[in-house]
Amino acid sequence: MSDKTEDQIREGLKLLAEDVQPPEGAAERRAGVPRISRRVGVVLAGAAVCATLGGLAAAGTFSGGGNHPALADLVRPSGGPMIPAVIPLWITPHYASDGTLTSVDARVRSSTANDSIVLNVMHSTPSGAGTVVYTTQVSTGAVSSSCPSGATGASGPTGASGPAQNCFNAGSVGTATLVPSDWIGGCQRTGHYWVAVGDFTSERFTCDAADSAGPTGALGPTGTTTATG
Amino acid sequence: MRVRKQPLLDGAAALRVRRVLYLNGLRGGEIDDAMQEIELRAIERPPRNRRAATSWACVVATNLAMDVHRRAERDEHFLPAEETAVLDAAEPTGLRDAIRSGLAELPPELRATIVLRFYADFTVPEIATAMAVPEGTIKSRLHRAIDELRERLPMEAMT
Repeated sequence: MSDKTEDQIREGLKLLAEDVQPPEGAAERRAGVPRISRRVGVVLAGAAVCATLGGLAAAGTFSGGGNHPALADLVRPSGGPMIPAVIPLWITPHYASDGTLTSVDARVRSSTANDSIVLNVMHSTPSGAGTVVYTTQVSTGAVSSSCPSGATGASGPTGASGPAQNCFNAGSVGTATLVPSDWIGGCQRTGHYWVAVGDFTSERFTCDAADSAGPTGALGPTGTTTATG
Repeated sequence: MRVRKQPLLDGAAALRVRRVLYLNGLRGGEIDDAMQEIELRAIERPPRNRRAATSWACVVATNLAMDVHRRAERDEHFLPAEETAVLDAAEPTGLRDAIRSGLAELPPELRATIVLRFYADFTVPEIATAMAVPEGTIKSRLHRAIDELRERLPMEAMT
């Protein structure tokens, strides 16, 4: 009886699946306007944004003075190029006047509405590898349209809160404030920290003022941690 | 020499994946969107075994369909209009109609399990892996789904 039922279900599914027929001929498809899904639309818009930002970065638009890392700093850990269309992570570290990190604002983006994104705070070990010191989940909201007014956004080429910030709002965005006291070891560890979403990582930042003025000048354009020399 | 990259899914495989999406309750533009999403995912994180691309795509399709249903549930319009119309129609008579109306009433998880098992021909362990749940859960879902569908099957199919 059960096998018979299963056979009937199998047969019924096969019959029902025949509602979906192969697409019409290739010539006819070429003649029509191709459908662009919402995500692909976001991806294409993102590609245009990344290309524009790449040009701006190359021209030195983001070379300093702002509080936001340049999008060009978002790289895959493997060292490969960023996939231009997907920019899922944006961070803004905040420091006290003595150079100690007080919090990090993180913005994550998904192409899917009401997504839940896992966000890890990483700490560099002496060997250079990263260990997770804090994990949280960030919920994103509804999908918004892409850049508000063309690829360069509304605020013009001011760098810090200009085109990148605006274009980042395309898709479904969620925010989180990361506080060092939540992390394993707080700000007691030396070395660099960064935020990771999947394969993507933010630029590195330091936590303790004593680490912030290292010889490598790793914090670069944010210019927020140079007080201690 | 210019090398043209092979698409992940050939015509027959793409049709099979479209049908998996359809059986999971997606319609029209939703199917097209999902197919593009699958292609994007194949670019971002390609399946390890290209020869198993169809199975990989069926799993992704199933998960995408369940995502669509979850979102729709949150938006409080669960059944697509087309399916609602079918349910409102006269009592189903044939096997195809019985399966259609039965599937439409199954929760997305049960529906996806049935489609993977009896249309995509996955084994129970394969479905468990695909849906990231224990095998016992899959067996239980199959049992429940088959019970529900059995009640709708036409009498001649039961004998």
